[in-house]
Amino acid sequence: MFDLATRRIIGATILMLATVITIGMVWLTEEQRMARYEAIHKGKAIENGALIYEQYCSTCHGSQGEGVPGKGPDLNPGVFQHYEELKQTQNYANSLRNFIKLSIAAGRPIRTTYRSDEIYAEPMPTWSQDFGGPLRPDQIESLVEFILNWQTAAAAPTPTPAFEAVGSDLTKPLPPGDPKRGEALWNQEVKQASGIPASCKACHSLKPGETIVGPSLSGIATTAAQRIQAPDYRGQAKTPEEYIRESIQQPNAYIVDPNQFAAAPGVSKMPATLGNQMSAQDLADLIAFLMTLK
Amino acid sequence: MALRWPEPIPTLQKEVQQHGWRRVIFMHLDELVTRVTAGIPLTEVRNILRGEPPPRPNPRVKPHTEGFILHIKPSFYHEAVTRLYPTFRLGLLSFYLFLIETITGIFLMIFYTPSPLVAYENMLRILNNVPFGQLMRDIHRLGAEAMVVAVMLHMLRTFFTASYKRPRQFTWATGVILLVFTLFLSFSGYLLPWDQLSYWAVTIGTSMAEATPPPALGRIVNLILRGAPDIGAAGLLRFYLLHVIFLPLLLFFVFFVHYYKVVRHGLSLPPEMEAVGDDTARKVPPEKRVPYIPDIAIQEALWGIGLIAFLVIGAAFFYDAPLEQHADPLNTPLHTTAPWYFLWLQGLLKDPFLLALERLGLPRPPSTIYNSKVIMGVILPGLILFFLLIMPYLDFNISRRYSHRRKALVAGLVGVAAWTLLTYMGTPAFAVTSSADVEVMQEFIPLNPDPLFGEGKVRTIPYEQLVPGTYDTRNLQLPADAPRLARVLEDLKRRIETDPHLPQGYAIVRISEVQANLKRFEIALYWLKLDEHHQPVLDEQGNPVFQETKQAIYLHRDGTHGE
Repeated sequence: MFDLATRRIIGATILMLATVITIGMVWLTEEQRMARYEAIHKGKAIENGALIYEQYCSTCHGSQGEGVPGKGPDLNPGVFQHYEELKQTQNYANSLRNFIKLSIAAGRPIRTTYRSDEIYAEPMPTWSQDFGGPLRPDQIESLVEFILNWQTAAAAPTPTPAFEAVGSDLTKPLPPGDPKRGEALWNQEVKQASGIPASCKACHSLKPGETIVGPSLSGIATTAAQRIQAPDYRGQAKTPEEYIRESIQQPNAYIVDPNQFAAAPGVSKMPATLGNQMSAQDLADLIAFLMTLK
Repeated sequence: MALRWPEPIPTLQKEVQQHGWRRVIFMHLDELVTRVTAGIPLTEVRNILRGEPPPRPNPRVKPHTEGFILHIKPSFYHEAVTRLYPTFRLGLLSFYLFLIETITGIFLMIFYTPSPLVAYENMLRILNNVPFGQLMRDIHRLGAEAMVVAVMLHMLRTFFTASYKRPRQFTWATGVILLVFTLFLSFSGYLLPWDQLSYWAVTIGTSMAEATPPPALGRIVNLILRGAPDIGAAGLLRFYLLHVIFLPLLLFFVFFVHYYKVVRHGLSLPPEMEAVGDDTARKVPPEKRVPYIPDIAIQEALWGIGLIAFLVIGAAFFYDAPLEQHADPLNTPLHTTAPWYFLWLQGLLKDPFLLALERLGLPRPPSTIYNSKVIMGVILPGLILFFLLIMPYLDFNISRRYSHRRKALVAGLVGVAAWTLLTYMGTPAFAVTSSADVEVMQEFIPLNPDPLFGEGKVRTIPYEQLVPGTYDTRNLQLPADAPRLARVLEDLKRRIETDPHLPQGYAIVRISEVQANLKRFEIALYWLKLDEHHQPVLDEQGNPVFQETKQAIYLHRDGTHGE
């Protein structure tokens, strides 16, 4: 139809036009594409952060950021409230993002707390590789994205279910305990009456001799029976069940090895407020479970 | 004595007075065009555009003698080498690709710092904050793959048309060196994004260096290449410098040696056109000559236009350069592979000879005598490379005719087949032995994208269809409004129940919403524990013991799933 030269001219013109049109299309959609890429990347960062949180943070701050008594404060909504407080009372000027990032990267040199009645076994460790921790900068960024993703939900406070807490009252009668449910409580498969998972296993191992923060509870039924006979025992318990109950509700009544397990003279590393989260039934079930550990 | 001009300096005014302004404009334009084209006057440009034959003497050869760029190009080609066969323009395309890689590479360099602390972040910035950043990166990556393909095909066609034979042996040898440089250039760029893909592909690729015998030398070679026992900041900087300075400079230098030889000996004619043993490429009869200007130049421009169109359209619509998660030296992805052009090496490292011995039931030779990493990873590839370099000097068959080269052609085809087979052996589809439960997790919820399973089947489920709940594959209660989830769960059920290594296998899938727009997808896999006699292991109560593997991933609404 056309001679070679004309075919070449037509072909080259079409190809050049196609190239130019393609570049024009890329140009026109570039803003949206970059924004979309940013959103996808943020989503991926939150996914990564969630995995890192599950691996490193949830043991002390709870799988939902609800905190673990004695180990770590709640992040959701605690960290957001605490930040607002710092801003208002201390003139803290840095951004929320940097506040969280710094707290993770550099940790805390001493034990800190949001509320006066809380006490934690250990201060927040340093997590950044810059300060001897295990996490790379990008992992910390991901973690911050994950924690900030709570912020939207944090505005609405979670209702606390109404229940009667046992507190530190040792005289309150307990219903018969169910060791099966106690074990489920221990494993955090069911929650306490307060809606908060029991945090025992965060500090106590069931492996003989393993000390996480508190002593191993392997064979605690036998140990408890020996303890109440010990000459230096100053508590009120007469039976192993009572000894375990006292240890949970009033951990300061008797500290086995103050050098290892006391946070301050006469104050156990174990928080004294655990009883506020559980009903009499929870406590009875947990004791029943622990009594099976001979 | 006062310095004097021999004649009065012509001024524009005087010229116009003498010749008229139209003539003067033409004269100056003509001079400009003649200078820019290094010798072709304006009238001749018009003749070229009109397709008229050149006058004698031919001013169109002037750029070849006067100009720098064209002085290396021949002023005419034999008509027989101007068609697609026998050159397929693969050498030209390789050179074009090198130029395009240089330009796009410099663009990317502007936004990139070779440090593990920021390299990955720089990649993200290129993709989400640099206009045309993604396009440039995709073209760079696509161009790199295309260049490897073009150079490989160039070598194959040179072999099959016997163009490597006397007097072009040295041209072939420089070509082999260029192939090696091209592979290393591509490979050194592979590491720079500093994601999981690049980190582990290069870790595998450089693991051969350590096997260089003797061990003391291997350690030194490894240290020189990686900058440390493992790839880290020093390794990244080394690969960066190799990629942006050292290898391009070497390649550029060897390219000119190669191309000078090509021009010096002429492009070899199709084998059937010459008498056996003749080389008539330089003796082109006048009626067979096709001048470079304008015919070949136009052809080459057309190939350039076609190539650019291919790369731009391909990169914009059909190809995205991969970017996985940040490199993590502590987390080796399952099914890691070297880049595709080094898969044959990975295939060699799986050692076909040992696999054959195993298949035949024969014992393995002791590793002190037969160390497969040393032999298959270093010595054999070294020998292959050496053989390729000197191959033309060993070929005493002077004929280039296909019918006279049956053995060589068969050997070439066998070589290509062996390469293909080894490449297949290098992929994770061949002889990768991880346990069945790990493979199931990898297929459905891989922690890193997998060469076989991509991002995993679970990520194909749209976010809305991830209905929170617990699903047991023994008794699947499928949600009605989530067809894609239902399909994946049924897939999972079939996959587990048909796996002979997962007797009585089942899975409990838990989907929970952990945050706004974030869900957790956990697969807990259970299967019967068997003892060495393939009998179920029983616990104290006489119940069969089940083994358990759990893995979870998180899925964000804005993540890349459902696509």
